[in-house]
Amino acid sequence: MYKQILKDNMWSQNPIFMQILGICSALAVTNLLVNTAIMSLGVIGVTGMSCLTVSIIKDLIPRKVRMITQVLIIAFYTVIVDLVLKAYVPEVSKTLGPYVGLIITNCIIMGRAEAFAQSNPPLPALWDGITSGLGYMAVLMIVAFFRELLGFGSLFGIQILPQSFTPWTIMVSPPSAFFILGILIWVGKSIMARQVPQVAPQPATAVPSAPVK
Amino acid sequence: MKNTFLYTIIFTFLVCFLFVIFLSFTNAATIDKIQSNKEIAEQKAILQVLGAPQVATKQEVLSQFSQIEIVTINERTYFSGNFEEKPAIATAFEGPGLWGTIYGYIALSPDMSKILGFTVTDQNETPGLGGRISEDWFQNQFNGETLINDSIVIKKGGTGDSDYTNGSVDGITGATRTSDSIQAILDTYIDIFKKDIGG
Repeated sequence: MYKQILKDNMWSQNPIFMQILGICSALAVTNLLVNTAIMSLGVIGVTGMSCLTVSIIKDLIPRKVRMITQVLIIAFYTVIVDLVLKAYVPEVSKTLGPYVGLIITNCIIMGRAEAFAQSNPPLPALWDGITSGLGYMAVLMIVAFFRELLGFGSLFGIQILPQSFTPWTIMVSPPSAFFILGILIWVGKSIMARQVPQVAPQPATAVPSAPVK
Repeated sequence: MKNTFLYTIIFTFLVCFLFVIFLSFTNAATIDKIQSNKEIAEQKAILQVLGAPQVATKQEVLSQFSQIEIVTINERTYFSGNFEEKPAIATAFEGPGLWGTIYGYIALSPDMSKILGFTVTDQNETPGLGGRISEDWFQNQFNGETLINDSIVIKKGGTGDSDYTNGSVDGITGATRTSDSIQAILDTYIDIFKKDIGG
């Protein structure tokens, strides 16, 4: 079961390029690999802990305030992540700016809490949250790899391309992530189509129709 | 029972209460560190424009900062330092950029003839274009640039201006409005310097 969850979240149900969730931050924080890594770790932490918490108290939550409670839990962990970043890595916190706070609105977290944690025991829920975050991280790191390499000529802040290389200004600004993400989705779907010639059945863990943020 | 009105109210209240209490503790535990990070960042910026040698640790920043003289003239705070035989006077600046307010520090020589340092501490300019005012190559151009007619010109289409006596530095291609903003801010603050300190 755990292996299947991992596989789903990393590949066949990847939150970014199969479910197209969490696109807002995918565009915003992928200009440098270091920022992306720290932002993704924040998201992994928040999704994991939120799913765990939702799953633990799911039997106590009244139906009417179900989603409000989930948002409260997500916001709670997000604020903690924000405070920790501000206290221990102030420079990174400054470059990430408002996007750490915007983890709250990341649809992946709400999606996993509602679709999985709400109806599963704590441990699988924790695992599902963490692997969803990992799926998010994997895609974002690929996007950031190309954006930093072409936009700054560096990787993890280390100059890779020669000084004579002209940086592609578009790679520095968020719209470039649309292009890279589009290409990634194309490549991903093509590979998937080759692996499974027949139409795959719709998975049970449907995604709630939350607005894409 | 779980879906009764009263239970819902009590549950919501309790959940909010518990989470907020815990958050308050986290906030209280980190607030001092966050505050001191902010102060250190400001002090580092001031030291940088005054031309102090680069240091890494907090203690070194604090000890360097203690050598600076802080004076208030016309309700404006000036930091005067003398690092490596180069006396300089710095002050904080803020002014409108293209998207938001640009904050930073600027240092002049005591006779108001040269800019000795310029650094940006906070800005919201376009990343990769105007945002490059935060990069070293842009800021280092100002170190030691002579003022002509009490002003500095940020040139369009610069070709690597390495002349520190011509009173002009290279602007950023594709960020004319940000470059213009920086020039306007510099002119304003050079005037303030002259009024407050003379020279």
